[in-house]
Amino acid sequence: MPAGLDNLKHIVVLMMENRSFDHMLGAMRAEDARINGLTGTESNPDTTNEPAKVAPKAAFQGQFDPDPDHHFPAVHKQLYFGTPGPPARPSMQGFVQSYYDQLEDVGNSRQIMYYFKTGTLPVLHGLARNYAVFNGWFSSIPGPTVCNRAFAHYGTSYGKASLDIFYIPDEYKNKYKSIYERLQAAGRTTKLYYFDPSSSTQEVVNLLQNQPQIFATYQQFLKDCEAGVLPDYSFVEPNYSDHTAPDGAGLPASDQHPDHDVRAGEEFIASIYNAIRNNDDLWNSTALLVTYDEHGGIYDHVPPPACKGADGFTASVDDTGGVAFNFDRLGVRVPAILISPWIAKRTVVPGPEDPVNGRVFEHASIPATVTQHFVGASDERTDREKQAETFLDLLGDVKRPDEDCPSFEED
Amino acid sequence: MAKGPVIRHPKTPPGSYQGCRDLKRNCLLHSQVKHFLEVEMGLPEEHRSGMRPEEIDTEEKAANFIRHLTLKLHELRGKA
Repeated sequence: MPAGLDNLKHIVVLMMENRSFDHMLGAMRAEDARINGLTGTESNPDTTNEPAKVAPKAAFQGQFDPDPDHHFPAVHKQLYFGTPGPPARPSMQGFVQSYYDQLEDVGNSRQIMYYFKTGTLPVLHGLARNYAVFNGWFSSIPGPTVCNRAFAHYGTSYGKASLDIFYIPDEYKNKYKSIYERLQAAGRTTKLYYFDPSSSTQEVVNLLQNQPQIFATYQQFLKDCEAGVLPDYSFVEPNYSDHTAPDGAGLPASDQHPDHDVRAGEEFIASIYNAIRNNDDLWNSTALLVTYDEHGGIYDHVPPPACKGADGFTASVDDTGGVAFNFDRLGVRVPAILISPWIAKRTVVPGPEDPVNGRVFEHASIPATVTQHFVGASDERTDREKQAETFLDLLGDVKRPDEDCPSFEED
Repeated sequence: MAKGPVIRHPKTPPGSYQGCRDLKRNCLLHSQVKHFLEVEMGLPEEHRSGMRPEEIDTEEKAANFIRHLTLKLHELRGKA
């Protein structure tokens, strides 16, 4: 076993909101051709049939109003515009057309192709330069948040492809366990850290309602890092709303969901990283994954592939706008970065662009990896999760020196 | 104290904060409120927020409502 894996005592997952890979990391291809970002020539037709090219003009705030549609029917259009639909290969040509549907404003619709230029996201880009960036991490469903986040918690969404409330069906309660139940049954420790009670969690009706004791706050996360008492597995949620703190201070949302300020998310990611980085024992024994739940309707150029394993569910046509969907293909690609001093600097994990060595990850990879490391063999999960790629093989034998691993500071 | 090379990042300007942002502009927060409304319906009357759904129309009001329900769930069903 590599020394990095032998030393691994904690896995921390931070899941942000609604930004595609190309939007956040696409510019990095210019500095490292291994990163499957943008060449600058990618385009989508607008509704006048003029090509809308990608452009490094993404703004921190004020650009995506209204919130780009990312419900299943809209994402279907984003993926399959100009094709007969599945099983055809996604064209990735319908993002501008889909955004046009909301305001019917051609100029506005073309902004969905914008991406952040190098230098504008020092935290996310800094992490990508220093640790492992995944070229092939996809959202689990071509749809919105709640069903995608469910894959991180359960390895399935139990057949849901929407933002609607879902309860775990009785027949599956003992068949498929959440990653938290699996860990607890194995005598392991785990916490979901939400930002504060005003932001709370997206896992409301199943986890928070029934197991509030497994939740804690972001402030507790910082304290647990300082004290070196992080649980084996931590899942961190950002602040989902602009709201007032008990002391009267205005707390901007840090989730990066449009139209929240992307800089607040950068600060949040930096604070989670620094909290781990600043405790030597924790830093040596922790792997931090930063990823996004889904693309938020924003352009990415890589067609999502099929799933390796099925979870046996069929989506309601009420969720999909009439499209047949058996949870057999993935959603749009999202940023994902794995961080540890045991990962070689500038690691790029190849994705579908590499037919020989490419690997495909999705959110079911999270419970699959955590189960593999902390629980071992478990049948209380879907076949899809069992077949999902895991990522701890990226931790090697060589620990990078302190002076090679950065910290973040606010201007 | 910072460790290793330092990467600097900008501070979020105060002007980015919009607690009065219309809730309808954020489908995720809107859906989160719906989920908490469902949870509230399962609580005894005395533990409910007293807020009418149509009153929850900004991010700040959504946060106040969510805070009430989150703390209530901890109080009734287990501590954080």
